[in-house]
Amino acid sequence: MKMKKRGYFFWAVFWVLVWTSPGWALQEHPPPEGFIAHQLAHLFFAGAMVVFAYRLQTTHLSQRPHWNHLRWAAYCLAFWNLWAFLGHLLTHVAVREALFSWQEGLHYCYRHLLIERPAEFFYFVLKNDNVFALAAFYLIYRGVSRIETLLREGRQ
Amino acid sequence: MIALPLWIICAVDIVGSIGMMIFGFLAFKKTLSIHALDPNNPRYSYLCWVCGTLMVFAFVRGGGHILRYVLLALHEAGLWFAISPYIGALNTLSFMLIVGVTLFMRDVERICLRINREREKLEHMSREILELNRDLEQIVSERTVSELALRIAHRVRNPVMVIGGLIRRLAKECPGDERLADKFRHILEQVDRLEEIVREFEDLMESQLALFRTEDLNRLVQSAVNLVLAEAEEKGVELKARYSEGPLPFKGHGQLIKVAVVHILRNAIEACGPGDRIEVETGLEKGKAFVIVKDTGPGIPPEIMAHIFKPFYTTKGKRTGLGLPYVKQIIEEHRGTIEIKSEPGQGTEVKITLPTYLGH
Repeated sequence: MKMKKRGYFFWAVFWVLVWTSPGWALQEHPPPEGFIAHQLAHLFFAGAMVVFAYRLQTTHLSQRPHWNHLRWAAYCLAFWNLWAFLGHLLTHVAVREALFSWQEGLHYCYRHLLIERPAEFFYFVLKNDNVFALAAFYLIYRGVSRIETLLREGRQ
Repeated sequence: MIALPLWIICAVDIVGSIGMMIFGFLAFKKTLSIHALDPNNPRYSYLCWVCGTLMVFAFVRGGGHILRYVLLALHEAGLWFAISPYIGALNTLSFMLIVGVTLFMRDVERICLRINREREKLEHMSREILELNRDLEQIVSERTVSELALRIAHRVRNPVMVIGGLIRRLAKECPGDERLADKFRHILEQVDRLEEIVREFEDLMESQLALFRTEDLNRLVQSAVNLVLAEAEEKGVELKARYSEGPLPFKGHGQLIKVAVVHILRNAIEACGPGDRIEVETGLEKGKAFVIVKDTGPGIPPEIMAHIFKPFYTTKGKRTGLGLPYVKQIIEEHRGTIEIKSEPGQGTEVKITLPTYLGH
């Protein structure tokens, strides 16, 4: 099995050396890359939070109320990531700040959003993602506070 | 068509960002204090890292949002557009930092579980050792009392019987004297009492048999194996046990048999080196329960084998050399047998056989 794997590896190295195409020493990073990296990071973050919550559940830690707070916080953060992911996507591909071009010169917070299509409505809803992030951080704080209290009382 | 005010979004964003930063900071502070309370717990150390990275994320993201509002309010849009890519990049990095830390959860939990398992095993072992020590003390004191009683009985029995015989003969030789006969009768009563006391002393030894109860050899051997498992692991010796199906009842003193099996196992561990193997097997053979301890150690040379059950014979320097003779004594008191087969370089096999005495 090990020999087989080594064989694959050498074949891959050989293939790369023989079939090389012209390349540049330094790769350019044009603008959409940052957006894509951020969106992928949101997905990884969401995945990590789901895994974290799942581990808390499988190790039965979540049966204790304080750890259960952390589990729900992880779910909240996972949900927030997906929410923010969609929000970014919508802003990037559909709505953009052009929506407010008719209110040029006004601060963002003083502007109004005309709901003409579902995209605008979703933009308005998805922009309030901090509701979930704040809830998650509150739950984390509650959980760790409880752990600290129990430790001080010698019950953890 | 309706127009929704964007200040709602701004308010939620500002309140959310400030809240995230406050709760993130407080949570991290709490985890530091938790870690200080129990610094040896890897779970709390891990929690510090999780909350630490989440706090970094809260400050980068929330701080960035707040900064944007402030700079835009101060009409410094240019400055904001200059620094926002950096804040955005840091934001993305903080996500990945959290991903990296949270994915360690599994390893941390594995470590915690292992620590807990080892702790439980240690507690269990120390409980067993304490119990064994207590039982040994009791056994030693019972044996001392019995041996003392037996020695006294043995020394007193003969003079008492001689005195009794002489008094009876004297009583027969003086039949007419009533006063003397009455005194002889009194003396004989006292002699009978002395003989009764001697018998009671002798019975004390027999009463040891009352400590014999129906025991399960499987359970005792399992407990003995658990007791020495850590020693074997520490030495790199593989200790495998194969127990017979169902219990192996026999009548005897459970703790004594356990002491004997522990001694045999410890001898095997001491003889073995890293990579060696010890196999323990229990079973029933011709109506007798048996336990076999077989090792792949260096074996016992024939010159030592000949003296192995002799008291005070030792090859281990500071030891008393009473271990195996004591084991033999225990087994013989249970009317069992102990056999040792060994070939130099081939390992050693010790077989203890115990009668079950069931139904008698």
